[in-house]
Amino acid sequence: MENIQTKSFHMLAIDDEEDALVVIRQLFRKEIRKGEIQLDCALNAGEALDFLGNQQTMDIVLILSDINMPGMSGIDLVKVIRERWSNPPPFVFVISAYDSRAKEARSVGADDFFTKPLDVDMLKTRVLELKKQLWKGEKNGC
Amino acid sequence: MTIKTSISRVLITRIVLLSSFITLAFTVFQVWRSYEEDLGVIRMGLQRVETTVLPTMAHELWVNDLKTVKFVLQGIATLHYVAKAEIMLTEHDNQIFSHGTEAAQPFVRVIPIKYKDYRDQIRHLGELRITAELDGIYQNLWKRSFFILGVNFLQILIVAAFMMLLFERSVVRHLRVLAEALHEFNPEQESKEIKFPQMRSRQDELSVLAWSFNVMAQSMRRSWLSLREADKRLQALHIELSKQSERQKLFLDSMPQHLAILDAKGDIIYVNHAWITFAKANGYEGETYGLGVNYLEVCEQDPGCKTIVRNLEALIGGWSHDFIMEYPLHTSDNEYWFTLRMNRCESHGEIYLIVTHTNMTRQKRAEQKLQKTNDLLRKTLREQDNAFREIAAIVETVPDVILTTDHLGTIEFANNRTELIFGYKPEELISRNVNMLMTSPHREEHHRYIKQYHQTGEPRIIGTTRELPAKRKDGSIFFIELSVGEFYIDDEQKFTGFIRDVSKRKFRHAYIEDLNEELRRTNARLEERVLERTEKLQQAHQTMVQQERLVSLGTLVAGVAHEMKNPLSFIINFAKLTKRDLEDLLIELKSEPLDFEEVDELTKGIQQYCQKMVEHGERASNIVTTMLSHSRSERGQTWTQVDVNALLQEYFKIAHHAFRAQHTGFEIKQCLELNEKIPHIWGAAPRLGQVFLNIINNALEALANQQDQESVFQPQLKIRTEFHEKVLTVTITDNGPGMPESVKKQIFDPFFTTKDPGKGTGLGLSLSHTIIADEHKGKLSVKSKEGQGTTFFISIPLGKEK
Repeated sequence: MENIQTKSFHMLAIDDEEDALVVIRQLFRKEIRKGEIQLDCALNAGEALDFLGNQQTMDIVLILSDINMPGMSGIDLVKVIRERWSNPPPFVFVISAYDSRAKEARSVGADDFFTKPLDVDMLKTRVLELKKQLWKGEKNGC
Repeated sequence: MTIKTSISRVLITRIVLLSSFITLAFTVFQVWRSYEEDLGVIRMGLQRVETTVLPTMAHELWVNDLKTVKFVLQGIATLHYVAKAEIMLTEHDNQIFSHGTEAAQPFVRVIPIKYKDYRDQIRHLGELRITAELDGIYQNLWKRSFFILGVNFLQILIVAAFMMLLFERSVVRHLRVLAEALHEFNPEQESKEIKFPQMRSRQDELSVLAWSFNVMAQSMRRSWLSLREADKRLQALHIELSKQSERQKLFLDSMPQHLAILDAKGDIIYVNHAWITFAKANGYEGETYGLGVNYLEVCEQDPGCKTIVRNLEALIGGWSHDFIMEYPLHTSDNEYWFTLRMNRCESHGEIYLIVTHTNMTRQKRAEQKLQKTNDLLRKTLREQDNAFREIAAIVETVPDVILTTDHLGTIEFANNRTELIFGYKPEELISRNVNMLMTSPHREEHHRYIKQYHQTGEPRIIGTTRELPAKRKDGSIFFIELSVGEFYIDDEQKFTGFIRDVSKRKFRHAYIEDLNEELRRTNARLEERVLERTEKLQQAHQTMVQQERLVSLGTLVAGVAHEMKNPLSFIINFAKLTKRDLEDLLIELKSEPLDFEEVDELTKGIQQYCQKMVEHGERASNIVTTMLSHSRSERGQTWTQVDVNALLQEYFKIAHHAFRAQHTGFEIKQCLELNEKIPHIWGAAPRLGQVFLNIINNALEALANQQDQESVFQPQLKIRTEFHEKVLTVTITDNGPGMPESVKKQIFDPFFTTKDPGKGTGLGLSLSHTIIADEHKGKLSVKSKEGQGTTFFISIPLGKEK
């Protein structure tokens, strides 16, 4: 676990609208450039699961998913992730156009909920906070 | 009857048989006893030998004195019942000594010979075998049994013979006498008393029997005698009765009435002479109305006799007791009337009906004559009465006053109108002079007028009508129209006067005018109100239609708002990124050395952001345009070429978004089967959009309801377009709960809704129908079954430019 410090913060963003993915990528442009954050994208839940494959351990730290997508919904994706990966469990943030789904999302195991239109500044703050927290925690742990 | 088997013989035979059996059994028992006794004697003897001789013999054998033993043996053999005595010596090689002869009927007894030696040990020396002869005993037994049997039989026979004799003499003989007496008994003759051959002083059963018989015979004889007496009296009575009956018959035959007597079944059991004569005279043979015929049946066959049948049945049934009917019987040459009388009598539990027909012709004729005169009289009276009533009614109904006076002007009659017109009641006027109703100067001059008329005969007022002033009871003066006439009753002159109140005529004309005016005004007001109401109703309808449009606009706005969120969010986010990256770029440009790669990337990024902002801006703008076009309320929509596929996609998206905004977690399997080859049609896009929105929205609501009820339900919405023979058809199908026939019939009716009050206007589908059928000349129809979903068909013809 020592090498987590050296390892970059690996994120997976899922949204059926490509422009949303563009926004997220550009939001973390500098961090990605510096190699502090590694970002992968998927256009739907199926693609995301393919990407994650069948591996038992999870090197992705944060999954950022839209809820309303054609095919499998973000809620169902969270359920699958929570069932399949617990070593270590990844953080999952979900985004929806409807506030009303926040409770449902949290009940299936989402760690945070953002509404559309997405407040990018807040998202960035939350992600960087999480990143800092994790590193700090690891340092203390050592 | 003769005696075939005598009682005494039967008795004796049975006694002999029973006694013989008992005797036999007794003899067998005695013989067996005697055999046992004889055998007992032999056993005792042998016992004695065993107790007396055996110890000595054992001792002799022990000391081996065989001679003495043999001697003793010889002694035993000489006993009278012993045939043979043997001894077998065990100690001397089973040596046997015997004495005597073999027995014919042997009875053997073996006795062991034991000796107790000095050591008190029992020694077995041998055994003594004694054979006794039973032959003598048996012979003795036979002899004895024959004797017993013989004696007993003899005894039985003698007793039986005696018994037979005694029985014969004391019982059977008397019985025979009794039988003979009974056999000869006849109550018609004096019978003999039973006497037994010998005087029997004893009061035994037989003598009591004989005595009883004698008593019975006597009483029977007496009964028979009294019976014969009664019979004689009865015969006399019968003769008397038949005489009486004959007399009665004569009496009945002499009656002028036709009389028949029926029994309870209605059969005629008697008819009198008049009946027969009448029947014959009228051509009825005896069989039709004669004896033995059922009167009820005869009457039933005659259709004119229904009343008689009904009453006859009532009489037979006991519901009534008599019946009287008058009936005519008209022959070709004469008319007769009869009275039918039927009476129900009960005698000794039997029911009889007495039917009489009385000829009433003479009475009837007299009655008829009287009736005719009466009728005529009554008719005349009635006519007069009616005429009078008619006149009286007319007189009382006439709106004018009618008076009659005598030749001097004294009022004799006045109708009720006087009260209304003059204020006097008719009775207040009668017997007073008519001038009391007049004003001066006529009042004073009236006498003179009449006098003048009488003298000259020239009428002044008679036969004309004149307007005059008159005076009421209260003294007020008013104008009347007066007509006077004259008439005579029994040469006495009378006058009639008709008086009409004319003072109200003018006033009435004015009143009618007023009424007409009022009516015209009311009519005008009513018309005004009708117009007002119609306008209000039209406004209300307009408001409802507008409201429905607002509802669909509301749906639209909810959907559009969500649609707008997305592009706006992108614009904001890309703007933020642009701002940030521009700041970065400025910093980068000022730094040394210049990182070209970074600058290039930032610039390209900003370019991209701008491009994206433009794209999303346009997207938002489009949405707004759609909404605006939908919300335009003018009816005269711009008639354009419409791409129905695009319209459907757009409105489906809006409806879906709007619906999801209100229903959490509602997911739907959508299926758009839009045929790309369909042409554009001429129509009003926003109006069509309103229809699509309405139908899709209804479908979504039905699906959401179904899902609320069953969580496993998979909502599904299918939209198809196709083009066939210049008609474009849109099919919108959901797999929701469908609707019952009753709902289906009404869905296109205005204000019909299945939603809760306040949730729907009930105008959606009605308006849709108007839009498709009236505005676009198309067809809107629905196919649905409960539990099998609903399908809406929207057919629109290609149309033309307007």
